[in-house]
Amino acid sequence: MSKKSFTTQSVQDTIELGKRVISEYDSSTVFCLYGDLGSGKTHFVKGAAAECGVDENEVHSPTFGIIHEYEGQKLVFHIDAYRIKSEREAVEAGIEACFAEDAIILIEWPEKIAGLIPGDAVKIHFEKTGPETRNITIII
Amino acid sequence: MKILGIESSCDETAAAVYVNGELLSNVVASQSIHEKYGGVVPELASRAHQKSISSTVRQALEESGYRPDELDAVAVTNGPGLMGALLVGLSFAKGFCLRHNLRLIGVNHMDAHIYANFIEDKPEYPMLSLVVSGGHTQIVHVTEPFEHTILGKTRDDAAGEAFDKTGKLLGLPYPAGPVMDRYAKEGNPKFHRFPQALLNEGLDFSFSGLKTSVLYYLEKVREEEGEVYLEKHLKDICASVSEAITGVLVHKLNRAIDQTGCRTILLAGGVSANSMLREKVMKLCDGKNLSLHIPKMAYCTDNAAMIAVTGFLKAKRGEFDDLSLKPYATQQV
Repeated sequence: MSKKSFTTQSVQDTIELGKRVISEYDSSTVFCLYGDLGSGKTHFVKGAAAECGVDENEVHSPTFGIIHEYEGQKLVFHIDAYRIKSEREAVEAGIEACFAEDAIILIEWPEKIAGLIPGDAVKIHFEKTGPETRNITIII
Repeated sequence: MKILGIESSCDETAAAVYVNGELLSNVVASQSIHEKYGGVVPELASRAHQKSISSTVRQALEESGYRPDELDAVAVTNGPGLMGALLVGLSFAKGFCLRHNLRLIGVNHMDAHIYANFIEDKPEYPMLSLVVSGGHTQIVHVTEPFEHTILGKTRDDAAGEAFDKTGKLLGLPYPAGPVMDRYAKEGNPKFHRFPQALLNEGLDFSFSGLKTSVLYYLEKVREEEGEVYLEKHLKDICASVSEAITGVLVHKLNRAIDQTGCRTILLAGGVSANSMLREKVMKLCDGKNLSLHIPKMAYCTDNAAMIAVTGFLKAKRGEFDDLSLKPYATQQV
């Protein structure tokens, strides 16, 4: 297991980190994004999606819609399990089906569907350290 | 033209019958389950839709007094939404059309929120529509039927989500929107000034920073004044958060009005139930002498009446689909 930590000073910083991290991975990787409300997960996804050729302004919170799908040079699934109450419900919502696609998959609130997450998923932890600053740790 | 409308894009399974300009029935499955079992949050996902779709459609038909073979078309939401959920409604609609020899009409869920205003009303084009819900926040310029330009949208959280998530930080039950609204009415909206992102920048919205500012405000006040002070001022804080959200919505709507010169304003989506937003939009439209249209609450939240009426408007233009109609998850720009 390896661990890499970053500190971002602003929202823009977090978006840039998303771009940088994604560029280091294959087109079919699952990323689990852990962290409280407002810790920067969605902004990280904006950067990740932009790196895949998606307009970052199109990327918005999937809390209500559960699964947002974007097609850039790569296929991107932005998933949010915030409202999911059970793994059965997640399967029915079609989350599991996304794992079969050749896509970059980014999941917010993955702890709610822990049993469904592939073992080789990249885990990224987001932590607020101040109103603007975030500590972001990547565990592989 | 006699139309059956079907909606299953996210949480609600719904069916409605709309005949020659008149809504004859409007059934939402999760609501009746909700009432029956006393406040159980409806299950999302496709199995819930599968379980309730045929009984929901049957009930809508029964209430309308029409038999399936007396209808002309089925209008169904084919996006944007949750793929598995959309497929349930779309597949049902296709089977229903085949069985009863009816035409099929695919309807965009976001368009339908706008045309919900035509269920009981006849707004004049061109129009500006503010669509605010748990999943969407958009200002849409409608120059003529089905000619839409999205002038502004949220870059992160939707307005309804902003109410729900800041409400959660304040310890309110989920979904927090309705409770927040009730408390806000009794609180002082000027108690604390929360930031309004992108206020003077274009027509896009950003609500995600509000969560962080509420969180840090609560931490600071808890430390400096104590928990009792927070409890005492909960209603003031709810009013101040509501002020930040509704203030920016109305500020941008006003800017869009000035930019387009539109005289007809539509409010749509579940958040249009918020009383502070309603008051502000009414005041704005009164001051500028604009014609404001807000659908009745049952047509603001997700429903099939809006799908049926949108289908009706499309049918009048001769816009039908064949059985190869596909669902799509994300709004196509």
